[in-house]
Amino acid sequence: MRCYSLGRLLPGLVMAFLGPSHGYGQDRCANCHGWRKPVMEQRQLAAPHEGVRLTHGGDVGLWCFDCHHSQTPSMLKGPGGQSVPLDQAGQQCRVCHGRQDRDWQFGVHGKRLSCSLCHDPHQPRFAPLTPSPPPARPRGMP
Amino acid sequence: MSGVVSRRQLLQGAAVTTAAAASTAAAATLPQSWGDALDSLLQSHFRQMSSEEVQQALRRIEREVQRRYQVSVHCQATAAQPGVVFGYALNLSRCVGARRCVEACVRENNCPEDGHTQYIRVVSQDRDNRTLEGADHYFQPRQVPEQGRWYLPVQCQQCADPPCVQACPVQATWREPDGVVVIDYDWCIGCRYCAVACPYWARRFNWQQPELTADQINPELHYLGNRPRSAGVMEKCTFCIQRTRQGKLPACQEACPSGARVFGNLLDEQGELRYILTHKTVFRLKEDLATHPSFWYFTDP
Repeated sequence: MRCYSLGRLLPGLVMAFLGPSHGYGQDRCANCHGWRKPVMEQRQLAAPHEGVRLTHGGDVGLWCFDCHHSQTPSMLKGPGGQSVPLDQAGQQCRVCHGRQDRDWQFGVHGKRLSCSLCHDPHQPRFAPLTPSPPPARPRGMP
Repeated sequence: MSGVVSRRQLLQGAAVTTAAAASTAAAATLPQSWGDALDSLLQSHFRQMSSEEVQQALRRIEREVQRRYQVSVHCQATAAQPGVVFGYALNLSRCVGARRCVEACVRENNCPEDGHTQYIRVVSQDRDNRTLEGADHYFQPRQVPEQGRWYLPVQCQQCADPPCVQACPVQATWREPDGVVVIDYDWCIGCRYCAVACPYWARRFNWQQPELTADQINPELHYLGNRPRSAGVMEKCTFCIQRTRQGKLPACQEACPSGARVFGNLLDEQGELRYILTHKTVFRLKEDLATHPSFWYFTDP
């Protein structure tokens, strides 16, 4: 059962009150996470992060602070626990995805773009696609 | 030039004299399309044309496209760059069978959108199937990738020893120095021997005039590439010669939503292709036929 305590609803209400200028973004995480204590155990995410569906890691079951830095909001956790800016996420992806990173360095993993331009970091597997129509059968063929 | 005048040269000379006489007599009254039709008829093989003749042919093609589709286009005949042999590698672990490459190819290469002329054929196979038997290229599920299936896009493999070239009785198709097997559509007689010879089912024949509308025309044309074809000629993938010889990537490579396609120069030792060939498990389609394709398939471990 989901619990709608004030503590859970408050950030959402505050966000709704402050408007989009205080929404997501590199320098805005600290609006809330500058004073809120990080919750290290896994739980259902509430507002304003209710839209985040975390499937990254599959059965391993990753949690926010496996990738996000718990002490410095708006930063990612680097390979040695140091903070890494969001736009250098690749440094952090390669901690687990070394093989893909090596391919990417040589330009043979997908396109020459940074990881998160193609992969949603929270759901890195691509969503299924509707295929384009098949070729026409030769004329006269049933 | 030998002293013996060939039948072609004799006829050409006679026709040009007649045409010259006719054109001086009625230059003001005869429509330009007549002259273009005559030029097209008397045009030499692409590889035997002088650079002026090539330029004349390009301008003629531009006029013909303009007349037929009311679109102004630019036709080029950029030659192969020295030190370049194009190659392709496709990651089968990544391909999801979405046919976005097919769609982009049709648009780029001025193919009709009726689905009868598609250079790329994406084949769907059962997970346990390692042969082409039972391969289905008409698959149409609601969503891809499907559970337990894998996908194999097949297009012209640009063989180093192409059987299609050997089969052509008039040498209308040949392998360019950069490894691309091309067709001179004005020289092709439409016998379709090449289509029979190709083990990859990569050649498409225009049984009728391709139906294109003005807004479907890609105005950047190449003589050996995507210029609009007419009924009765063969056509095929040219690795997007109109793009790749300008330093761009093929349309299928750019369109791939999963980044499965890698295109590059095989002679570039630091290039992506050489990395794949040395570090990945690669194979070529129907390798036992010794056609030596420039197209490799690879998988991730």
